[in-house]
Amino acid sequence: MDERSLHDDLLAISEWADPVSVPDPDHLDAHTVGDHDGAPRPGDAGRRVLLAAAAVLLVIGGVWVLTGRDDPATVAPTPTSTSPSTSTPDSTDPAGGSGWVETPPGPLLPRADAQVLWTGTEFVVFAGTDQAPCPVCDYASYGNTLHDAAAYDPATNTWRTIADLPDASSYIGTSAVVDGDVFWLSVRDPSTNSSGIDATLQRWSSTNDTWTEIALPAEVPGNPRLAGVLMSGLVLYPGTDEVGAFPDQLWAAGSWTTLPDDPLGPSYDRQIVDGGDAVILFAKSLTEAQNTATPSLVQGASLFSGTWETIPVSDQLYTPMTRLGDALYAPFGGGADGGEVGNWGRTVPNGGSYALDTHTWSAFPATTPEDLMGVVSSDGTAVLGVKGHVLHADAGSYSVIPTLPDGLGDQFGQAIANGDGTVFTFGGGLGNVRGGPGVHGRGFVWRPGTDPEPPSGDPAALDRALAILGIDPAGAPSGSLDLAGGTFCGYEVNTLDDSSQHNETGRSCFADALDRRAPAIFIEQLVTTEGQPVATVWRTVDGRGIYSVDETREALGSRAWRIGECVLAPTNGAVAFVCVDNGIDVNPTPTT
Amino acid sequence: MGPEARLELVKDEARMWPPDLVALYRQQYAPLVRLAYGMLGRRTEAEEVVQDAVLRLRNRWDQLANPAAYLQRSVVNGCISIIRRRGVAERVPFDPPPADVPDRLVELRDVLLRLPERQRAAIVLRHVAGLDDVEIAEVLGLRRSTVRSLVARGLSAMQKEIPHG
Repeated sequence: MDERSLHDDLLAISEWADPVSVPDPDHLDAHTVGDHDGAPRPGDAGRRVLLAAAAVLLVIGGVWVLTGRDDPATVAPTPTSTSPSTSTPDSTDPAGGSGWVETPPGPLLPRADAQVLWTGTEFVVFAGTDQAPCPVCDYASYGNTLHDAAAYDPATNTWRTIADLPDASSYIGTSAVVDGDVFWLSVRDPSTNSSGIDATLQRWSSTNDTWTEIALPAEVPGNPRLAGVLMSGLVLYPGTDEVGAFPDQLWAAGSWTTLPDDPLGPSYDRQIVDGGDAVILFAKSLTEAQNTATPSLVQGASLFSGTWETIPVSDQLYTPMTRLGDALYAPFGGGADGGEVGNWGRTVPNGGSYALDTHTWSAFPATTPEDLMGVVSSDGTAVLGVKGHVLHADAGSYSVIPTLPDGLGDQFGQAIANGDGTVFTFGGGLGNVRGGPGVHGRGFVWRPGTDPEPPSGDPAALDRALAILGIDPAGAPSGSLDLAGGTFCGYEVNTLDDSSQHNETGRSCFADALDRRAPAIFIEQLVTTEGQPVATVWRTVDGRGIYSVDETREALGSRAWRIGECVLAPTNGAVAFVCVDNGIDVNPTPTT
Repeated sequence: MGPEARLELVKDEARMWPPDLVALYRQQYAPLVRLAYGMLGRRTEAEEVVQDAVLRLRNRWDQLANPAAYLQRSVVNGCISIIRRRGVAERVPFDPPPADVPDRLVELRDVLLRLPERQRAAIVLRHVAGLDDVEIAEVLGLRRSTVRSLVARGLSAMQKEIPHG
């Protein structure tokens, strides 16, 4: 078999694909919804080197822009493989890196003021309106209630359509989750805010994907609220109870029971929180008039085994409260626990938390940002807004909520929910001009716990990153994790479909160090389709990029560390970061 | 979302195709499908890989000076990804050959598709895409000497399997 005939034969074989008709590009989206996720396997050493090189090419890009060199993107084809489509489950973490990551397009119509709830396995999205949210709304109208509904699974990064809301529902109402089922109390006439309002309570079964109407008590309070409590119970209660006319009512095992009268008396801004084995109530007390000596304090009470007990008043007592693990948090900064003018309330110096087991209050670390909007801890996330700061309760530090793209974080009407360490937001307005572009139907997820720290010269920051990423420094090549007095630029966690947001701060830091020939380390971790991490530790040495690849945790890889080197070099008429895989198995582990 | 609304969204997206990209797409589509088919042996997969690569190219269109090279590289990586997945997933038969092709071509195709993916990629890039060693090295992210080695080892393996071909 000579090479000439082989050449002809291979060409002939490739033409077995003929005739190839070129689909209209308008229809490519439909064509690509195939049955494979197309995710590359990072067991391919060469390809992984390319991936790593591409990452650093982007880093170098920042320097090129600053120094007026060639556009780095011109030589930085990112060799990722086929991307997931809207109906192709991708088992990789959609929010493995920092920042908000957009979900695949879902089946829902664009909307504002949607209901979003975490059922324990999915975020269920329903209700909402097609009208731009206030303040640019049409105040004469509530818009059209949207009846389509869907569920987003962050574990698989996929959407599924669920049963439409019954026609009787409006988009105004309150919702809660009990035993994985959604309860939705919609108020048919939103202008009504008095006794005897016309409302409907629907239950969506996560098992049967059906909405079923639940009979309400004889009278529904104005400003009704729902809360899931006591494992399988649902409380219907008035958000405002200024005359004490409406009791709190518990729905359990198919019937309603009136709860014992709480000790807080007439109050407003009432909130019931699930306390595990107790029902926790917070409310603001009424005052006689503005500027009275008695402020409008937030009070709390706990209903346990049929008896209410008041919760100690504290400077940290503020509403609304949210629960993470065995603690209740008031994840807000500044403000006051009563009204915001005159002497209707106290100024809260800093937010705080209430321990359900010890019944004690703790202050948040000073100085609490005024725009505190959530808490992150090892027990989960409770982020209640798309802008502001979050408290990292375990570390006692604060960080800024990442910015939603396209200015969406500056709009109104976003729905937000937390579940399984993930923050999810859906929909909202598209502009601040009345009669503007209306609403959108984009969803985003953020996993705050995976956010890297800012660049630091502290070796402890590198150690923390290694622990977070699960990299065992003991097996790393000599010197590969040595900061050498330089900067740890941080890390990023990428998915195979390149959907993760990059740590641009860290990349710029590394590029800058490379340009200055200063020591620095940056880590890129890739999560394979099987969920196995492959980490590339980048280190600058005299303007060169030395990389060490940790394949010890990847079953399809070499099960060893590999090292290689990249240098700036001319290629194809431009300048690129050319990498050479030295192919040295530093710590080979036999695969049997 | 209803089908009409969905269709409108798709149309909106379609309107964003730059004319130069459409021209490149029309010019390169068939050769790239043949390239992918040479590596995969299945036309459906080959077309999907190419289409996905084109869609990805569209997302980066404004950032690339050499989109044709990006597209080719993207297709090859997509093929390698699929080949590697086959190693751990189900093994689906290759497309049947057209009627009346010589047995030696069927045998050669089967031998080619059994080669390790990088050897296979190097041989297909040379003989189907017509690239030289430097260009193959660019696409695969390897040194030129490594490419030569891959091609030589691939050809040697094929010679052993088809000694009298």
